[in-house]
Amino acid sequence: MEPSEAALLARTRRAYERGRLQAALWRAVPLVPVVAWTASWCRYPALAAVCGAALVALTVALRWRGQVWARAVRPGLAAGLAPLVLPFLMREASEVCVGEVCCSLCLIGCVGGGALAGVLIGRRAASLGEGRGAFLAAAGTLALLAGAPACAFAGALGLVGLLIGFAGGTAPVLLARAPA
Amino acid sequence: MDAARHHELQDLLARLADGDRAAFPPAFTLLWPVTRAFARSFLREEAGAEDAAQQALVRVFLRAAEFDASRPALPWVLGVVANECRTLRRRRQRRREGPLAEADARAHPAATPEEGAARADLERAALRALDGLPAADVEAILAHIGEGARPDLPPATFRKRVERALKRLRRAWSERHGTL
Repeated sequence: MEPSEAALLARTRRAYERGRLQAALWRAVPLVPVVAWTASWCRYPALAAVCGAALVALTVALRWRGQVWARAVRPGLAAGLAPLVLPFLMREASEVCVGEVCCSLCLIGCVGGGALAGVLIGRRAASLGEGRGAFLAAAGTLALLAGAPACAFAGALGLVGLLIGFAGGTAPVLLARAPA
Repeated sequence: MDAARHHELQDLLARLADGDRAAFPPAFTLLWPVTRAFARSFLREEAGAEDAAQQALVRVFLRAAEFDASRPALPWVLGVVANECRTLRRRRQRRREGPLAEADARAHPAATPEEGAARADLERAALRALDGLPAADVEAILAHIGEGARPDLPPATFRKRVERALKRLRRAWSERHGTL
């Protein structure tokens, strides 16, 4: 390869990476109003801002990286709607008591939303031949970051409930579809 | 480009759009000759075509993330290259027009003292050359250059007189200065 061709190769390589980053940034723009809306009603706006910033940054990074990482973005964000919307709708509701044990509906929304997100992502991950772990990690992180501001209504317990719900939703699906 | 290469290009661009960096070197190797040949035939100038081809290839890779794998790759690539060539051609035309417009906007040639002196010398030499001509010839030349009143003659006669006067003036100038 001639020196001028090697320089052109390096130049085109940089252009390719820059183009991917630009495309990823443009596609993350619609997330910004959603993050702002979440921060406007979250009990802990700072937490919502941090989670929102991390969500946008991770979305850009995954889309820039491409392949299975980029393919995890849309399912991850879609699954993240469940733990975001359910606790948000239940945040004003009173507690539910079974016998002597009482639990806030918001917390139930966190666990339920996390479980639903886990099932959706787990099913999608299980259908993949390769990159299942990467897909699960990327989509799961996005879903948890999306749901965290809403689950903060139930305090730290809400965030723990979200994690437990997600793990509970993902594990059975993955185990059931794991190749023998 | 034959069908196999066409198919290979389609596959490589689809992989690049997906973020597969391993597809980059073969895509470069395949695209560079195609881009260069197209730019040469489009611009029809060797040096300019090389620059245009390089910039066009950079543009192709910059936009590789946007490539829709369901559409044919070669027309997409050539569309990007043609667009870049057209832009470069327009830019060059504007650059060429720029200095001319500047020259038009420049002050009169006699703006500097040196130019003024040279102009005065030329005028003196022209007057000396005119001095030896018949009065009718001087009158015709001055009327012709807009420095005197046009004699009351039919247009064809005046044209003929100007022609004769200029011929004599040329001869007189050559006798005094040797060149014209």
